[in-house]
Amino acid sequence: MSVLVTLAGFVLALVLASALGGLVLLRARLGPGPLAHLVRALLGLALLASFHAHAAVGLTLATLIAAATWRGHGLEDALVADERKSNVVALGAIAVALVAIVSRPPVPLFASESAHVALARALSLREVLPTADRSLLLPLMTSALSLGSDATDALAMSGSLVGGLCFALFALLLARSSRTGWDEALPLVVLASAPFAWVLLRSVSVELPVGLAAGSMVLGAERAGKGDRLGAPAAITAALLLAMADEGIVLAVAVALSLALVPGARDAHRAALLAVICLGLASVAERWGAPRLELFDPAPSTARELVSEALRHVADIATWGLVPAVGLAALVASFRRAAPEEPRRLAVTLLLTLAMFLAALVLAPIELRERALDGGLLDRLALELLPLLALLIAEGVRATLPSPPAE
Amino acid sequence: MVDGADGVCRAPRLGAGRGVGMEGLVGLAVAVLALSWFVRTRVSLRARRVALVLTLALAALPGAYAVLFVRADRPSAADRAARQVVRLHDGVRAFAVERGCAWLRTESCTACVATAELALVGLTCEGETTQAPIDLFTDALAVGCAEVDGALRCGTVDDDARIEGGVPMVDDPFAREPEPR
Repeated sequence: MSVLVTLAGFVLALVLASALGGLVLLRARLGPGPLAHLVRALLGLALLASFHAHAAVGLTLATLIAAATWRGHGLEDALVADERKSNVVALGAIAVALVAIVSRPPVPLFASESAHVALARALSLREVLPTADRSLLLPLMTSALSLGSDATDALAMSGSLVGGLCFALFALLLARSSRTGWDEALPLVVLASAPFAWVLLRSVSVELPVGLAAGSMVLGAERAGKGDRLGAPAAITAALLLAMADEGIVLAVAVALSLALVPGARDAHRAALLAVICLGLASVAERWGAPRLELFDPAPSTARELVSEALRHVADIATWGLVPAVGLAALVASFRRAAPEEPRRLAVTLLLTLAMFLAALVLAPIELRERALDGGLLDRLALELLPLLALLIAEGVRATLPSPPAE
Repeated sequence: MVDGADGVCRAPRLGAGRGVGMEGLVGLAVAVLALSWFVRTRVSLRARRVALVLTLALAALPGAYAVLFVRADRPSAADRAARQVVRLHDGVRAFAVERGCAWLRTESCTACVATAELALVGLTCEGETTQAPIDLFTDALAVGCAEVDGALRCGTVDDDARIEGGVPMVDDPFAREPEPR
């Protein structure tokens, strides 16, 4: 199947998903614009997993979201446009990302890619699924975006483009939250400075999309706190996308907790809490009836080994550049007394997530711990924190300047 | 293929906690420098941003070189790797479609198993069977597949791997799992 046919099907699927999302957000008054359309489309896609679990669950979740966003309140789009004249940087970055994705042969080259595409193919063929040891959201989105095709190239490209859609959500929300081109570009530059991000951006993976969804949830909740009517729907959509990975709920809870714990977020924590509730409902519904895994096999003595292994991973300059080192500096700087709340909130989110990841690995079954210590897990978990780290570094650059920052 | 997405080019899979070494020290030094830079209020915002972008861009060069010129999925080699994967996938799927189902008897090629499992979605034989076995030997991607005595043989028989890796004998139709080492 040619790339053009696959892309045409992809666009058609996006339009259909946008119609479903638009139905749920009918009274949210999101208005026009690329971000509003993208939020509708991604919400429609993210709801697929709930409808797949059970129609009643999907309807319940859709009703909850529709009620929560009924008659959206906040700034008119014109006011937002006054704050920020253009999102040229974001659109340029999205174009670069899409070219990078499409230029790679649409073939699953990595084992993890093959596993996701195999699940998507099974869904397209309506086969009985093997014991699901992972979330079905990415395979469902992949199958839907390829219009139910079972062709490997269509599935592989659609799966990769899910990452592109998550990147677009992050970049457009960043543009909406930024006052200057520098504010908008800096987190994207930090992201691009981690070569590992380029590798997974061009493949079918959950880690980068989940990280971008976590960053989008932060940005969406903060927009909601500032009265932007797109904020809450964007935060909820991003939270639902976090269901792509089991650890997504950890990121969502960390975001909501940090918004609640660090003062100054106004109503943002309410939007984040609502998003966590939606994610929780969707996750429970999807995994309902799945075989119970052995959840606890605590080994506290391995904590030191895990931390040591994590440090070894993030010290690899070829994989991460110096993003972790600069991120560490930004994290420490954000706790200075003079620092504003935004970077401190992001720092708290990162610390909470790291603590929960470590606790989960220490308590996890031995197989998962062995995988982490064997080098096949920690880099991917770290990638899920990269967009949050990028936001923190961009905030940290001006954290100690006398406010408002001189431009 | 298996390790391709973990690390950019050289993060070793084994050896927990070892080898932080020089790169860790470099990272720590940069962190301290960046921290002192961040907390100096006399440095202008523009200077901070320019310094940050330059530092990150320079540090990304080794990884960018690996992504563009070293990795198996580098742009110049991605097409070849993709062709090999597609050839294996299509061979396995065509074999399984022709016989109604198939199953993996030999799994010496770790990198190929995921591709073969993708090809066998909806076509895996259920229960014990001697029909339509597939043997994946270590060089399956490079060599491709051919039918031999009713089986699909991908790659060439690797006796050393069979002995050292405990891979089941090709002519043992019931040995579906490798023996534990």
